[in-house]
Amino acid sequence: MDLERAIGVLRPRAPWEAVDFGWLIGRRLYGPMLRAWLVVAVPLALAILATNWNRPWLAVVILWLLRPLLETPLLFVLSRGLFSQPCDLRTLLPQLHRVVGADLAPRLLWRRFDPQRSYTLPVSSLEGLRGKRRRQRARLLAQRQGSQASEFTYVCLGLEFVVILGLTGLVFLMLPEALHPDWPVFFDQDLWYVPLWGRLAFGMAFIAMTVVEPLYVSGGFGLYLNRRTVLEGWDIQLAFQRLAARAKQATAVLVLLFGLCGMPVVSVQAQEPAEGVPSAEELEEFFELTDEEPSDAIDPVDLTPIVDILPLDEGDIAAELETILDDKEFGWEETVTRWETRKPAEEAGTEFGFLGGLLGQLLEILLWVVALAALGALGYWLVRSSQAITLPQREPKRELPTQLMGMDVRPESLPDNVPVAARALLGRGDHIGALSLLYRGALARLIHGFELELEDGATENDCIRAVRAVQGPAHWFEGLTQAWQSEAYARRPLAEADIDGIIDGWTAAIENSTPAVGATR
Amino acid sequence: MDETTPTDPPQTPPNLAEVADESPAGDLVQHSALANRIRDEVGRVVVGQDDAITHVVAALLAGGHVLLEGVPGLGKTLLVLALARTFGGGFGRVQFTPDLMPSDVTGHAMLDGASGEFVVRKGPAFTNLLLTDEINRAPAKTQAALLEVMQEEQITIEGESFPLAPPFMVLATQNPIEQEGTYPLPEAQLDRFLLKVQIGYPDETEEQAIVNAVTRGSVGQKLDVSAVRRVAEPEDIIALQQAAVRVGVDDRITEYAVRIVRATRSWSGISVGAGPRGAIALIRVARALALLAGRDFVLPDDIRDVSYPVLRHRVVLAPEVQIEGLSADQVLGALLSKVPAPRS
Repeated sequence: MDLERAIGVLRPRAPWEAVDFGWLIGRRLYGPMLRAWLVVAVPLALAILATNWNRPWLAVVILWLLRPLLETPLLFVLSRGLFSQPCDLRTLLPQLHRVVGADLAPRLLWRRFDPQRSYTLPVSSLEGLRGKRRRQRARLLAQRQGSQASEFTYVCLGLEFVVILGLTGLVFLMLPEALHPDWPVFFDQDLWYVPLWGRLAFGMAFIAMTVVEPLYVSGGFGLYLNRRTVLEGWDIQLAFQRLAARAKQATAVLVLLFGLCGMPVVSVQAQEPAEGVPSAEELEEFFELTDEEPSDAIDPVDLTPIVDILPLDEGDIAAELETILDDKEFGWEETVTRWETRKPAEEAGTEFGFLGGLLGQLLEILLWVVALAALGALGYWLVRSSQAITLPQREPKRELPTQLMGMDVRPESLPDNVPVAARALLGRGDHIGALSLLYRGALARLIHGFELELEDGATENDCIRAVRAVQGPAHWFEGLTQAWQSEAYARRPLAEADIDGIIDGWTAAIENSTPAVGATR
Repeated sequence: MDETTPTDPPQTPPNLAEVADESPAGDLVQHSALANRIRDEVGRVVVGQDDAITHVVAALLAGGHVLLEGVPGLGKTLLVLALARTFGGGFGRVQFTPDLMPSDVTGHAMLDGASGEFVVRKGPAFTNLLLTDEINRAPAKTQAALLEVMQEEQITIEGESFPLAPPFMVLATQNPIEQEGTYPLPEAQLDRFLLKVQIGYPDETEEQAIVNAVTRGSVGQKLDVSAVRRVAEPEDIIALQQAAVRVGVDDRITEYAVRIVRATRSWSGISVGAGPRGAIALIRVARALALLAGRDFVLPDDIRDVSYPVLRHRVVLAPEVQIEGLSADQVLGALLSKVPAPRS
């Protein structure tokens, strides 16, 4: 890595200015980035859509989940392009599997939902750190600019929604009004689930990703560069590199410069790496993807030319440093005496501290439960959507009605022997009573025997249709209904013999009939 | 404005009164057969609209007026033309426009230069079947004039009343789309229509039959009702209307009709329910349906079957139901499934 070959000025910046700087780099490298995106993203999107042609909404979800796959090629282009190294497709394609596959599983699983994803992505993808070292490094990065990185992710998310909505609006603006769906019906009857709309949504989501993703990756990369500039003093390194170059040409001037700047230079060289900051050896591994020659890996400032001309040896420098650091400007120690309570503050808060810890643990457990439930729900939805596995539908247990169409249809409300009771009524000349009892009794038996389903508003014809549907004794029941209608509504009394015949048919039609297999619901 | 009176078909059917048996049962059979012949004749040219035809014929037998709702090109005009031809009735058609005046419908008096007297020129409303296309495009004044004619069945011009020759029936159409620049009929005026019949799209087979019927051997797409035979006389229609009135209605049926109408007033999805005229209309149309079915008594099924066309324009849906996109038929369907049908 040669900082001097950077296409932008590396210096400490405010976080949002750093994002802007990242976008500036992204803009300069937009062509290679777009090519890298299209080479990777288009085949992936087509493959996802082809395998889920009839489940396009599932394809949208899969594309969204696999998005980190598409970010690393963009980062590759940015990281190489930043230092004026080749970043075209000829460079990318031979090592595409390494670029895309670096630390793949965590990136696709739990780190997929990390709002600082674009900011910490270079740690695993470019620096090649894994496990604990990656976490330490990411934590170090997040100490500054972490909140801005999260906010930046939400801004990009919002931007993506705006693009999708804009595209949707554009599509409907271009469509004739007659082709516009009836929106309440569209959502009420789940017409949006029709594959055509899903495919359209997939296309829009892909276009929105194509627009936003380069901005997202380059913005996060800008933040990352800014943090490293601050942590590792790249700007200082650059300044001294320039000084060293000039020193080669003008020794006399450098001697003068040494008097002014020599101490800090050596202090930079002698400084131990801070915790979480890679050592010089580790730095050599940095950007291993972007540097083909190991010698190009992070190279701390080459101070040899300067050191060679220094008039002091290292011992003198150390002594000089101590003298300087003894100055009050670099801090001092003093003893202060004051009154303290007997009970230390830590002890006073112990009881509540314990409670707080307990609450914290409970909250953590709760959050885990919520997260697992959300994951479970997502998995269930995916399984249901894929239709690959049909989950057994639980049949709701049907409660048999006691009242139907204003009639008491409980078996216990009927006489023990319906035909006998009906015949008794017929004997007393109560035709309507006899037919009414038969009708009520038949319905009660059919409801309980054949699980006939009828609504309160069901008319006689509805009852006939329902009996036919469950393959019940439809013929006898039709005769009964016609007799009932003739007596009740037409006031046209039937002959006793006719009603007798209907009563005679009771046993065969109701008592001896059994539901056909699969006929009941 | 366009008035059309079909020419008399060549054959004239025997008068119903001449062929009817003396017995009530024979009457019923004859009347029912004639009503069904009228329906079938209309069905010969109007394909795929069986329910609409049945309801329109039922409205004719019940002596009511019909509001036809459907997108253009589904055969509304053809239906009315064919119906008029079945009984040799007069047919008038008025295209309602924003500048239509009441006198354009009812008629007016004009000064005759030769005689120096005012002569009454009768409007297209002087007919048996009056088709008013896109009734909601005319201003309220003209609509009110027409609705008055529907209610009174007479027209007053320059202080002189002219009774309309029975049978008189108005078939008004309106388009469910393109509501811009329209004057929606107020609920009180909608109530004057016995039925609101919705004409939907035919299914694929029926549509093929329609296309074949219109395109084979004919130039342009002129409505051809020559296949419709004249099977009755205007007097027969009056006889049928009287026969429908004689169809028996049990008290339980009346209670059922009233129960349905009253339920519309307390149903949660309906902000304004139907008035008593709704129950009256239910009974009238159910009688006509019973006659068409060859019965001299009304069944609860008749009431429920006509509940949709009778009540859909007599209820005002609650705003939340409208926002959900539910139609009046869907709300009525839920209501009808909960109103107990008469039993025992």
